[in-house]
Parts: sequence; structure tokens; C-alpha cells
Amino acid sequence: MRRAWPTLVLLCSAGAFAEELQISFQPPFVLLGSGATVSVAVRLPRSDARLGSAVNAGTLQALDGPDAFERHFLWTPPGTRSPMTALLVFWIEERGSPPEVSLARIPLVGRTNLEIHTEPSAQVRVEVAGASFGPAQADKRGRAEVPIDVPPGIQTVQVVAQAHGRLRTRNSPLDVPKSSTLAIAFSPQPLVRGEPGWLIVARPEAWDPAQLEVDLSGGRLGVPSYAAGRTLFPVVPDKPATELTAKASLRSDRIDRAEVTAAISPSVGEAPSRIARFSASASAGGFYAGGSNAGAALAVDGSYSLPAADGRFTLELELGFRNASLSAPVTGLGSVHSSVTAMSIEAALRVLFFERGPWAVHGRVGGGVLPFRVSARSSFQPPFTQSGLAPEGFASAQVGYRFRTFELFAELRGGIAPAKTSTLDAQLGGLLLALGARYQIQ
Amino acid sequence: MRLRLTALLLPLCACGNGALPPPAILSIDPAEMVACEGATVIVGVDAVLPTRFDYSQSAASANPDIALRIGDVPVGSGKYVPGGLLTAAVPPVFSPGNYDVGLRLSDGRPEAILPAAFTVRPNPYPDRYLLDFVPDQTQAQPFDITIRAQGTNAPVYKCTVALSSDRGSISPRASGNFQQGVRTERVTIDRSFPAVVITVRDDGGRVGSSNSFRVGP
Repeated sequence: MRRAWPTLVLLCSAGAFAEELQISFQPPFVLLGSGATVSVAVRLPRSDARLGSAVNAGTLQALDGPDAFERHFLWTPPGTRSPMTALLVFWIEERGSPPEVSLARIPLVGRTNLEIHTEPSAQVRVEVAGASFGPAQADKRGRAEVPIDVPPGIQTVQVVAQAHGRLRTRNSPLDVPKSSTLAIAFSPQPLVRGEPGWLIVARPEAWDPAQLEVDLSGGRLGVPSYAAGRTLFPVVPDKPATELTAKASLRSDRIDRAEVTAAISPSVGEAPSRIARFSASASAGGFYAGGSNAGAALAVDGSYSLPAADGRFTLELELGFRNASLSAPVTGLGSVHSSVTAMSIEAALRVLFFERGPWAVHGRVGGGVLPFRVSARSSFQPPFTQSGLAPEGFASAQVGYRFRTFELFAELRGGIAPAKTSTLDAQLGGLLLALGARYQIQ
Repeated sequence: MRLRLTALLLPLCACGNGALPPPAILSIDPAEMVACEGATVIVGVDAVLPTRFDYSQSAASANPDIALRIGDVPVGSGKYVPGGLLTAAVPPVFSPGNYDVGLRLSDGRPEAILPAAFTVRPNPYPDRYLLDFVPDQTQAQPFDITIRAQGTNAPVYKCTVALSSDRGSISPRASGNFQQGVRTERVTIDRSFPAVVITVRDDGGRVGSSNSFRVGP
């Protein structure tokens, strides 16, 4: 069931960042120490978009989304009790193009007991960003404590004390510990040698670009582009470097600093891609092609996912077994029984069409040969056998469910595999339904 | 389990045997006959008929047509019999000698041949023939004559003899088969003659003649 997101919806856009991301989260703010978490939904402009993310505080955990156009996250606040603005940074990664960055800001409200010194027995209340807390009565020595909620960015509060008919108002500074507000990340994740990369630096509030200081080790920074709250640096890794480390800080506030390190993966063709892998599978089921063209179908399969296209294409070699039999009368002579046993040797290309969470839908096309043997026995003549070779072509769809390195799948296959000899006219293709399990070896 | 898998895969990989086995003739019984007698033989064959399995129709068929021959002479019914024991009548048209027995199926597979499997023995001719006394007859009226083989093979002689008369025309021109060396044949002389003699002759040139009798008008 789809959740409603009635709270805060941000349409993030900014000049050079052409494509907007629609970000919504619930609740709209967090009282630190309450244990609350924030549910975040990001609406994508297209289903195949690769979404990157970073935060300046707390942790962001990806969840399953309701459809291909929406990604869900759970953001957990940091352990600090000091008010601040949490910054959630999302961007679309497009190979060879600058990331399209969007920001979401979550106010983190701190709760504290404000100690106040005033006249003895005075009635005291505190105004914080338009909200009133108290009243509390000062003791005989003029001391009072008022619990207040402090939103981020508040440096002073107004204390209102009333004693002996007199009302006294004064501003009281807050001692709010400061923490870094910078969020920093590399895009794409991981960086690929020889392909364009970027460093994203973002902050809840806009800042003077001249204040930003970035130190990059392992590569070189290009000319940055600025937009409200974020800066984008092209980065070029040095040839021998295997990782990049960026440190960012604001000259005006040395507490505002952040650091990120990213590995540099080999370029395509330089080494096998991390998504290249081998797997093995086994399946069992049955086929039907009309009449007595029906029987058991077993198969074992070895496959290799091609490094290109995110491993969507997989080459497969399949060895299988099929069997069908026929018993029928022969006019004037008696009856016969025959059976066809075939071994399938086939190559196939499997394509990943759709993937969400543990579910995946694959399409397969392939072909091969089926060496087969037909044997017959009858009531009127000697038994005999014949051998032959049947060609086969097929297309199929697989629905799989993955857990860890295993995948359970169901396959529906349509194929043509005419098995013919001087005595036999059979079809070992038709519709084939099988259940199987795949194990990812590497 | 491993042995079972191997047993399964090995025959499958032995590809290339797409043809049906050729037929074979296993036996013929009896394997000989007397040339003039003919015989009824039983031929045992090992043959897979042209068979068809149509899996789409869940149907099977087999063509029972066969061609059985002894020498160059077709014998038998032309049809396969379940079990492969074919009965065939061999006509008395063979000269003495040994003959191949052949079997051909309707799908063009090589003919099965059992070489020199059937022997035709020479006829056991008697030394001569005697005809019982023939009384006077009437023209065109049938009458019986009795022919008796004489000599060593006379009791087993079962062949036929040719019939002729020195006057007029006799019919039939050949007798039926002898039984234990004796044959009674009903014949007719077409015209009247005061004295007629009937002569019998076998394939080996041995002869016998009747007494002279009158054929009246």
C-alpha cells in the first residue's frame, strides 16, 4: 500500500541543475533525543535514473520504493542534542554529465533547560523564535529553570520576568555547540578512471563561494559551478591514484568542515568490471506441444554476466534433458509404444528487463541442438531404436526472487524443436514451464 | 546415480543411427521340395516394418507390405504377419537346384537375402508306365483311364504325364498328379476311329501305351 506524504514537498531546482527531483519527508522536523526518524521519498524523473545521496549528519538508509519512479529512504538523526539543520543531498547520475543535485533540509530542534537569574520569586517565561515557554517561578535567590525547544539558527532568546508588578525583558544568549553543516560527496559512485567525475559540496544555507576551501588529494579540481547551497567541482583523478580524498571547509567558520574518500575503479576495458560474474542454475519442469508431445524437462545452466550495460546481458550455456512417450494401436497388427529421450545443448542470451528489490524479470533467447533417441517396442515386430538431432530455437521470460547469492526463478519458454526421423515426427519444444534455482558463484 | 547418468548420456551422444535396421531372413521350413510337387513353406523373418509415430496426433502406423521371393518367383501373400512367420505356397515351376530367398520391405531398405536357402530336388521318375485295359469307347464321351508307374520310384511318384492318342485328339493333354504311383484320369476322344492307342510320357521321356481300342460314332 502506498503511503501518503502530506507534509513537506520540495521542488528543488536551481539554474544549472536542470532536472528537478521531488523530495518529500515526514515528519517535517525532528526533536533531538526523541528517537524519531524521518521517512524520505524521492520522486525520479525517469524509472532508470541512478540516484546518488549524501547527508551532512545522521544516516540515510535506502528502502524499497513502491514503483520504479520513487525511491524511499529512512533518515536517522545524529546523536547530538544541539539544534542544527540536517541536509539531505540527492542527485541523478548520468554517465558523462554533471550530477543533477537537489537538497532537502530537515530542522533538528534541540531541547534544553535554560537557567535564568532574576529577582527572587519572579514569574519567568522565555520567548524562542516566536514560541513561548514557561512560566516558571524563580526561587528566593532569583534562580529559575525553563525547558525550551531551540530550532536551528537561534543564538539568543528573550527572557520575560515579572516581579512586584514590574515587567522586565532582556535578551539572553544561548550557548549552542556548533557542528559542521557541510555535506560532501563524489559522483558517480564509484568514480571510474577515464570518465568525468564531480565533487559535490552542499550546505543548508547559501554561502559566499569565495569562503569555500577544498583540498583534493589524488586528483585535480576543475572550475566549480555554484548554485544556492551547493557547489560542483569537476574532478580528474591522477593516473596512479586508486582513491580520491576531498576535504572542504569554510574560511569563515573552521568548524564547518567535511571530508570524503572515494575509490577509483578501473575504466571499462582496463579490468573486468565488478559486475561481471558467473552463476550456475538448475531447473525442472515440463513441456507441452500438443498431442503426445509432452513430458519432463530438466536443465543445468552456467552463465556469465557481461561487464557492459551494468551486467544486464548474460551469456548462458545450458545442458538439459527432455522425455516424451506415445502408446497407440496399429490397425491389423497390434500396438506400439515409443519414447523419445533428448539431451539439449543450447546457448542463450539472458537480458535483465526489470529489477526491484529482490524481484527481477529476465528475458531469454537462445538455440541449440537436441541429440535424441527414439526407442520403440511392439506386440508384432522386434524392438528398435533410432537416433537423430533436433534443432531448437526459443524465447522465454523468467521471474526471479533473490536472497543473498541464491535466486529462485520460474521460467515460461516458447520454443520450436522438431524431432524427425524416418519413423518419428515429434516436437520437443512448445511451451515449457520450469522452476529453478540460480547460485551466483562470483 | 553417476552410472545412470553416464548410461543415459552415452547412447544419446552416439548420434547418426537414423535408419531402421535392414530386414533379415532367419529360416525357411521346409528348405527343399521336389520340382514337380510345389510346397508350402514358412519363412521366419526379423523385420521392422516402416513404422511412423506421429506425436502430434498421438497416432502410430506401420506398413505391412512385403515382397517375398524364392529365386525370381514371388511367393506369399505380400503382407507381414505379426510374429514374423510368413507362410508361402511355392509353385512347381522350378528346375532342380538351389535358390536364394529374398525379402524386401516397402520403404526401400536393402533386401534381405538368404543365399541358396531353398533346394529344388529332381523329380523321382519311374522306369515306365502301364495303362489298365481300355474297352471300346464312344466319340466325345468321357471315359477313365488308369496309369500305373512301374519301377524303383513308382510308389513315390507324384508328378504328371503328358497324354496323347495316335488317332483323333485327346483331352486333356496332361494328367493330374499321381498318387502313390497311380493316376486315374477322365479323358475324351473327339472322333470315331476303329483303333486308337493312348500314350503317356513324362518329362524324362519315359512312356507307356494303352491297348488298341475302338472309338465308335
